[in-house]
Amino acid sequence: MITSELILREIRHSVCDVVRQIAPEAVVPKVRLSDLGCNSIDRADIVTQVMERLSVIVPISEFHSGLTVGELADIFRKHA
Amino acid sequence: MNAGTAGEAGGSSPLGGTAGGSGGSSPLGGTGDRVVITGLGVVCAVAHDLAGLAQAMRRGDSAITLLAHLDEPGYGAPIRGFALQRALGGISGLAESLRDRAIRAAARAPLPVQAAAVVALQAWHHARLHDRAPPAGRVGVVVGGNNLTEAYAESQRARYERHPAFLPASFALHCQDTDHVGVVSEVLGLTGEGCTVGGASASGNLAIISAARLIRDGGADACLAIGALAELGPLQRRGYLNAGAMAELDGGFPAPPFDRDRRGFVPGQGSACLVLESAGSARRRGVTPLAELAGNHVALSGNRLADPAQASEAEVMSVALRRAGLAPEQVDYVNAHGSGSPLGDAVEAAALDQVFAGVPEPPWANSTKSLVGHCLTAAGAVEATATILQLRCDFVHPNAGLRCPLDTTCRLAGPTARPARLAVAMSNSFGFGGFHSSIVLTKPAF
Amino acid sequence: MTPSACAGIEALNVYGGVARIAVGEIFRGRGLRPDRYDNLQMSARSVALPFEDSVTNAVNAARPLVDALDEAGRRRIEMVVTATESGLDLSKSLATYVADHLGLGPRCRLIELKQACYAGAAALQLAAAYVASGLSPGAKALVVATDVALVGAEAGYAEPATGSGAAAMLVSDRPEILSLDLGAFGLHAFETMDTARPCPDLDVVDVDRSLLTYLTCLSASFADYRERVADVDLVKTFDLLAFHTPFAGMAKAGHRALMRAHASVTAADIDRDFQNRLEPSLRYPALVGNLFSGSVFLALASLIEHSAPAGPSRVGLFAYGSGCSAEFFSGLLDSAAKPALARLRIGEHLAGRAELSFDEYERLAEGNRGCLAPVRDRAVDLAGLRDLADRAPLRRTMLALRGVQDYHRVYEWI
Repeated sequence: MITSELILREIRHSVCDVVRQIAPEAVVPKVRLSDLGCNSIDRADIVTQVMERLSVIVPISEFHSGLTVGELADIFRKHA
Repeated sequence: MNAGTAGEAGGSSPLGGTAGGSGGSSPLGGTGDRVVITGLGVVCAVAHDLAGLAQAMRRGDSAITLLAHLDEPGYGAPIRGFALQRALGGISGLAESLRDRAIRAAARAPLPVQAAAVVALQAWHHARLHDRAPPAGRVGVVVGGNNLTEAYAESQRARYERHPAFLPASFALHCQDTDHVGVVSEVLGLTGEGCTVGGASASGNLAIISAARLIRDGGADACLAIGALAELGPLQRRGYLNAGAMAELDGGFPAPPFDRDRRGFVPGQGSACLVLESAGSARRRGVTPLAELAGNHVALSGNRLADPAQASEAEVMSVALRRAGLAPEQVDYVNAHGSGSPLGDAVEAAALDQVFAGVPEPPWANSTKSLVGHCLTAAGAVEATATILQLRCDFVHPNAGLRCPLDTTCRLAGPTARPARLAVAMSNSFGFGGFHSSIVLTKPAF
Repeated sequence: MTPSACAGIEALNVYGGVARIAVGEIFRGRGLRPDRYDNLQMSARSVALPFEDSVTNAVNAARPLVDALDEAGRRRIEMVVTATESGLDLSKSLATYVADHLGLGPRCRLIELKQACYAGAAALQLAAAYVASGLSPGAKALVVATDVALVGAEAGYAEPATGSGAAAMLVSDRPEILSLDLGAFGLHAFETMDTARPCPDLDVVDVDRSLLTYLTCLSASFADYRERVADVDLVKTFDLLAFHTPFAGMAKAGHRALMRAHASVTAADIDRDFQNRLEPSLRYPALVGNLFSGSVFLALASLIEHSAPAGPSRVGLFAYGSGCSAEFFSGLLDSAAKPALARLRIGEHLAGRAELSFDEYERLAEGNRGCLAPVRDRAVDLAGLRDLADRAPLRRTMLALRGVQDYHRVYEWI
């Protein structure tokens, strides 16, 4: 079952994979992806990676800039 | 200037005031027009740095091996044990900030881009550009190679077939050859000119020549010329086999270039970077050139097929020499294209015989492909690096495994490295589609 | 016959071998007192490989200089002088082998000079005088100071400080590296038994006597220089200094003594002066060890590479050879010297030497003791030893001893 914790864990895993020098503890719901050092391609990569790992498809239109980790998790939960 | 002579009883004379040195001629002479090489970087199947390559060349180590794990087993010289972080760690004195930028930009990039980032940083350091560099806008980067991303694209196919949405956004960047240029320019902060230049197996030389042209044109003080690593996709590999160009599995360990029993090339994985610079820029930075690019020539042969053209090969060698102001008898060493192709090597031997006909002391010749395989898009850059190493260290590496050499005017190196006094060297690269190129490298004049 | 207005060093190269050992490793391996380590101010020393000797060191140092000359230039080398305390024959000079393996022609004087660590400077002065005399306008001389170490455990604290290698110089009327102040020199010599090499495998060293003699000669030869040359001030006349450096600590001590004797300055001033004028000359010696009569030229090379003078600078040089004979002399460096020397990549070659473990070093040192001992026939297993040389992968092709046949030494390039 896809829980909120699982989604958050996958996002955290993906962020750390994409931006190598981030500590996992820094990836918390209220922080913006851009503030974690993710550029536009990174953010898109994170989204596609989490989609693949959770096997959850989300239309690209749902995503916009300025998302926080928590808001991203909400989008995934909606479509899970 | 004289300060008194022994004959003067008890007297003493003052020392001369101004510089007594006769001055002599300026070390590099001439205008800033001349193009020199001030830094080198390499990763390949036998070594992950320059010192390792030099050692392997002296020992005649060949990394050609049977790749049993492939879907279709065959021969190759793959890069082994390469890891971005470890390779960066091998660059002595690499600043934390540069290292972090390289990891950030390349850690998730395909292998060829990672290799390009590493060799670029190795060469950057070797050229002391980390100490003092020209303004960022005066440094360019040219990456030699085409169709560099087929293995990467294939590797994403499974993901795409599960669902198109799973294709990473970064695919849009990584699936383009130009990703190499973008990544290197980001890591090094370069804002001069940049591009890829494609010439199949001549790409490495074309990158070197393009970089030199940019410098001679005044468009840059320095330019990195990178030969991109060829990571063959399954279709590419099969294509070469079906065309009869690559040595097949059957027949045992493939005989090396210039051997009568050769039966095709063995693909190698490697990448190399040369820092080309105007002589004036090197002088201003207080950096000593490793070698000079004294001459070069490129010509098509009006032929889209894979077969070589003796006339074109002889022409590019002769013109490159003429442009360098040198005669064939002054060439000490030729790094042949020597791909192991039954027809190709014979044609190149004939072209060499044509160019060096009648010289009193024919040059040494070898093919670095016998050690590191045919690096395809990177071959010209890897082989220029090997040529400069031999020029500087005064030896000629073996033609590994050569047992029945072709007849040729040139002195084909045997199974062991030979000491040799080298001042002028030539390196050839030819590619499918009629690409012919030759560069002349010389030890810098003292 | 017109004397030449200038003469000096046209080109200079230093060869510090292809293998080294960290001085700390020798201290550890021999159980030497760690507090004496700081006194030496050395970090590594060169170690000869079994196929190296004073001929190969000389040729490997001189080869880049000879290769850089065109045919006409090579023909103008009229004198090859090997300055050495590591001779291989009581009659036949090293210069005969050196000239042969460098491919020099027959129209040349071949000769060897000996006076401990002074011979190199003496050879330079004699060659420069020849060039300046105008007897043969445009003539060049090749001067090579070349030596090998014989030390082992019994040498005590001298062991970690002794080097092996050669300094080669082209001397001519186009002195791009150092233009000698012709006629500006100070001399001091007398008979004393401070160090000597009475047998081909034995150095005798009286450390205290040697240090005292060095200091005495430095002061006295400088005083003599002041008598011959007008208006000399130790601080103002010389922008830079390079001394014979048996170990860095000794050159520093010499500088301090000289400053106290000939300049009225405070201890802080002396320290500052040392950092500015002498310290840059000590960096290569700290990596190689005592290079015998090549030492002052190793110091000069280090000085040129590690200092950044604004314009032409005057260097004060001091050479000292036990037994003893010493000279204080000087010359002008111009701005072309640094790029000219940089072409030889001396620092890179030193950094590229293979690092030896103490066990490897001990075995090699034991073998090196017999390096100069006369032997009628000897074979060296070059093929088996190549791997050792290749641990310095970016080395140039080097001359190596293949063997001795009927007392004749045979060499090969590897």
